Amino acid sequence: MTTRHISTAFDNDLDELDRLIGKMGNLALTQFIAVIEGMGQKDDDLKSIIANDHLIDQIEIEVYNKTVEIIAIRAPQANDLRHIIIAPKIASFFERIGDYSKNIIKRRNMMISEGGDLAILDKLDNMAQMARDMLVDVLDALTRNDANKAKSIWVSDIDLDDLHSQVYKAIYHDMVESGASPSGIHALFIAKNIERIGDFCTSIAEQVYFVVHGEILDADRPKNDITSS
Amino acid sequence: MTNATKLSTHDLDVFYGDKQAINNISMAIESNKVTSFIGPSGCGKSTFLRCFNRMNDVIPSCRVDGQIIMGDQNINDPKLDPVLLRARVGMVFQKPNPFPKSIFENVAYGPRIHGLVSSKSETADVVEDSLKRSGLWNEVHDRLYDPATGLSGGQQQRLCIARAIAVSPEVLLMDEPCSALDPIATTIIENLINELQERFTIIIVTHSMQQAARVSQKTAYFHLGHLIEYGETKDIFTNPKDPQTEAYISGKIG
Repeated sequence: MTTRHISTAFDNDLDELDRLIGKMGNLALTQFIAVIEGMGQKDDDLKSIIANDHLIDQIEIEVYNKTVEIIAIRAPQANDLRHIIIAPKIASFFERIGDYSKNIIKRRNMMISEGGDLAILDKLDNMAQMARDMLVDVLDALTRNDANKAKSIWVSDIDLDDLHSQVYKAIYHDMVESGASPSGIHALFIAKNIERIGDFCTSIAEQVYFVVHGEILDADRPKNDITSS
Repeated sequence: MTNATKLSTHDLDVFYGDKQAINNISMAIESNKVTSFIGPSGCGKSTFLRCFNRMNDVIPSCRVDGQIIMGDQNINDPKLDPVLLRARVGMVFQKPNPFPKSIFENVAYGPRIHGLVSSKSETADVVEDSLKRSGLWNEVHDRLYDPATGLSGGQQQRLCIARAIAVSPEVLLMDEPCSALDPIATTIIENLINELQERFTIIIVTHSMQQAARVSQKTAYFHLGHLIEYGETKDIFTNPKDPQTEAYISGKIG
């Protein structure tokens, strides 16, 4: 709903909440892009990614506080209420995406310290690109309240699941063939983290759809990740 | 709780002279539920409410076309005695309007003129019962013969409710019953509405959307004399189907 409220102060509150969520989403995206671009480069320790994670955490607290304040003061209804009530939920998904980005770098730094070969992470490139595209798309759907786009992201998660299954099988196969290596295990965990980032994008897409339509997308989303079933 | 219909309007039009205030409204009010009418000033919600006990009859330029069915009767039939109707469909107004008489006499008046009581003790029983149902008895039982005008605004409004229910109506109409009351008195009345719906079908006109959300199970949104949307209160306030309803409850149109 693009119409403005009679109360300018209410609109200002909603704008502020949107600004916080947007800032959080962009930080999560920036972090994840830095992960993708840097994780295969041995000469950079990528400590800044680990250090920046707390910035996302801080905004999450601001989102919670702003949400409570708006509900208490403005008594929002209908679309407004849904718009506001999902903010903390989306914030926690972005916070989780930030956490996974940080964990990927921690694990990758562990690989380096163990003398592992980062080349194995090249196998995760396609997955990482796909998860990044989902994150870019869901930020756009969120900003524009685009339920159709949100639904297509929700449906497309199956492709990332597929890719994850393939990567899992390939790394697993290599480990069986050439003997289990710590790097292989780390790579499997990192692959799972990337797959989870896709899941969070899907969860955010569900929230966008809920804001627009007031209905939850059917829980029977197509899933195709054989690694955790 | 049943979904039985207590009242229904059929193609109801209301005119003030040449001006049409209500346009072809057909809706059913459910028994023993609280139904809220909401909408901006001038939307016709009070005019529509006043059709249910023929209060518009007292306005010479006002004409009501269409049917209002209660039981098997069309209560909009000009042959029907509105005084008898108003014993079946009571009303509470925005501003508490007790008679300038004692607390007791305010409540006893209706049952007496309608011949519902035949002795002093019977009258006293009805007065006590009505004051208890309106939640006022504990505050006034030791001063029943004091002037009603000495009560606080909230107490006066509960006295008006006691007066309305003393004649055992089937339906209670409330036209912004809390808009002249403080928040505590408002909460007391809202709690009372919740208790009264066991016995009565209640229709309330309110400008407070929060009040509509708190007290009613059904909500109807009116705009410019049209019924825009009518449904379960929880649906109207969480996911209204009509963009006009959405805009109104979200504070986007006045």
